[in-house]
Amino acid sequence: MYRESDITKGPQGAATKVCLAEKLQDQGGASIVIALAFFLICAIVGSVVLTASSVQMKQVQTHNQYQQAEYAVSSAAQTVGHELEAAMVEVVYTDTGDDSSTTPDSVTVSAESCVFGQKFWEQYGLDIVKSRASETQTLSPIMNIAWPSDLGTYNGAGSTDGTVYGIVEVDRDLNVTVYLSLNSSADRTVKAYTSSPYNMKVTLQCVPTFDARGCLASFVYNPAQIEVTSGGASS
Amino acid sequence: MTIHAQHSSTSLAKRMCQRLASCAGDTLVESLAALLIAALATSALVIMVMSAVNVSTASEAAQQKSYTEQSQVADATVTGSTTITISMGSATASGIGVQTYKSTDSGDHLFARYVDIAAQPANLDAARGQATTTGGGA
Repeated sequence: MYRESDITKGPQGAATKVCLAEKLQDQGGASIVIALAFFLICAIVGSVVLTASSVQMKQVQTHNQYQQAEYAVSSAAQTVGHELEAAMVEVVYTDTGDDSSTTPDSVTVSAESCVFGQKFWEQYGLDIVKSRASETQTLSPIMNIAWPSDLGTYNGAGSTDGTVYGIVEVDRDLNVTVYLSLNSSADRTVKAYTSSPYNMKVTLQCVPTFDARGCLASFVYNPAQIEVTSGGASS
Repeated sequence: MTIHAQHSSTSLAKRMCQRLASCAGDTLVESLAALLIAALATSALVIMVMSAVNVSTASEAAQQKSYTEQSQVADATVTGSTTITISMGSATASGIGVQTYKSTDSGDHLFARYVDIAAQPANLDAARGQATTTGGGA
């Protein structure tokens, strides 16, 4: 508690006196400023709440699109895996009469109920067998697995029409690896496209059979192994 | 000096008394404007919160529908069958029979997937027949 005489004493007292006099004479109000501050706070709080709910809604839509993308790629992976694993390929050598030919002449494919597997091995089987002694081969054509039109319009992420693209590799042991992606990019150096929401790899292990000369006589495949590779943007 | 100080203190006390008795403050226009701004801010906040609640409700419903339809797709109930085409260069295979799984039978479905019809041993015969009839085989 101070007395009035304390205010008027000394240099500080004089300054306080002037300040207090100005304050007493001031008739200005702060209601506008307070109202504007209140408006600003309301705007910020409202915007935050609205943005949070909008983000939540968008997140649900994005989740659905990515889930459909996963279904598309996994469906294609299962189908391709089964088509390739069900084939049995027999290697035919040129009959020179002296049993000395070790150069494959053709391949015969036994592949009931796997249409693509038969087409694939008939088309590329001989080249694959001939070149199997070299390094891992990457087949040049890109595989396309179309989205079935009976399933309606594709509404997933990563692709406009749901087509799944695949790159096929065959190593020297005839193991087949198919890299599947929704990205149609022809950049073959990157097998797991980061821009695609889901990438999967189908691996088929070869079980070869050799004849008495040690030449490859036939080969089949173990059940396909499917795994998710990089690029998957989970929701 | 003493007289001046005494005069100042008397004047200050007088002013203070006047200030305490004064009714001066914001003008009516200022007060009304502040009131209007506050009302607008409150209204805007209420509208935004209500909108956020509505959007959240719709989002929750959409999420619930999404989970329900995912369960339907994951369920082993075949909703139909169709054929797909796989191509690779000149090796094109059409008429590959697949079983389809859709979340709903209507056109407005969220999820759909398919499985090679021959992947299940029980369907092997059916797949053989379909591959023959569709002409997509080798």
